[in-house]
Amino acid sequence: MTTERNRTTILRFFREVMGAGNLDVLDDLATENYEDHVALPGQGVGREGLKHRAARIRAAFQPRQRLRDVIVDADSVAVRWTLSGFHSAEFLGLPPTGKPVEFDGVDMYLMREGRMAAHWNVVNLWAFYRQVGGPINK
Amino acid sequence: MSENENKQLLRRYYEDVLTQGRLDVLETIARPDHVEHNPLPGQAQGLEGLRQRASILRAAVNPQFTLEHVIAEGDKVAVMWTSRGTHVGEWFGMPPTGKSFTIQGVDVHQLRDGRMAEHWDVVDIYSMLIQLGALPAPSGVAG
Repeated sequence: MTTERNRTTILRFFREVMGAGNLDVLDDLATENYEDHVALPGQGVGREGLKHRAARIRAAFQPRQRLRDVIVDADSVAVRWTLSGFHSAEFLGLPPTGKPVEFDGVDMYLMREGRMAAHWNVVNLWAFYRQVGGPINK
Repeated sequence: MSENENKQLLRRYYEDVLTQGRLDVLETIARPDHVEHNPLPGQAQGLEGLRQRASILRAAVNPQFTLEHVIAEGDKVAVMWTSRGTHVGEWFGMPPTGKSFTIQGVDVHQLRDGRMAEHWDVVDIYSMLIQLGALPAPSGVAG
């Protein structure tokens, strides 16, 4: 069933890629021409870009992402999460501060044949910037 | 209520209540004991809190919502929206600047018995604060 297949893919993404850093499973979980509408600066395109994105977020935060909601509606998936970690590498132009961070976000994915094909999100970057002290305090 | 009915009910919240200001509609689409997990400053719980939230938003920024993604499963509905507003009233302690802005957010609504029962959100406040001039624009950083 499409819904359960899509849910499985997304849960694997958060557990195996974002949680455990196994970037190679993205070859199974994402389409080659994966389209990121909220790409990080320099992320690059497609599935290879998604690998860079996952690696950079993991390096920047050593994150633990608690999934608050996983809502699957045919080929659309919404995931609301809370990320906790430490700001341990450059992120969005801010050099690492080592400070603990915790902020919320929601990712939305469009799936194609059980794979992640497109992505949008909204993240509470204000919380992140307040916690690490910049660029708000400059 | 089916998932499609839940989606239609939420559309009334954004269009009739938040955009047009018809606060009376809330009585038919939200539960009296509605739980707000991300209250605005000064927003109470319950149906009265939802009325306050709509009033505060409309007085502060007169928002016009465009729904980008509406995703429903069971009694949960996630709505990713774009809102165009103008800062015409006090907002989080900031006196009105008259500036216009566009922000994005996601609401997650829990429905119960066909009415709005709980709400969580994530809103890109950072982007709004930059557009209102309350924060410096990031240098050399793409969003």
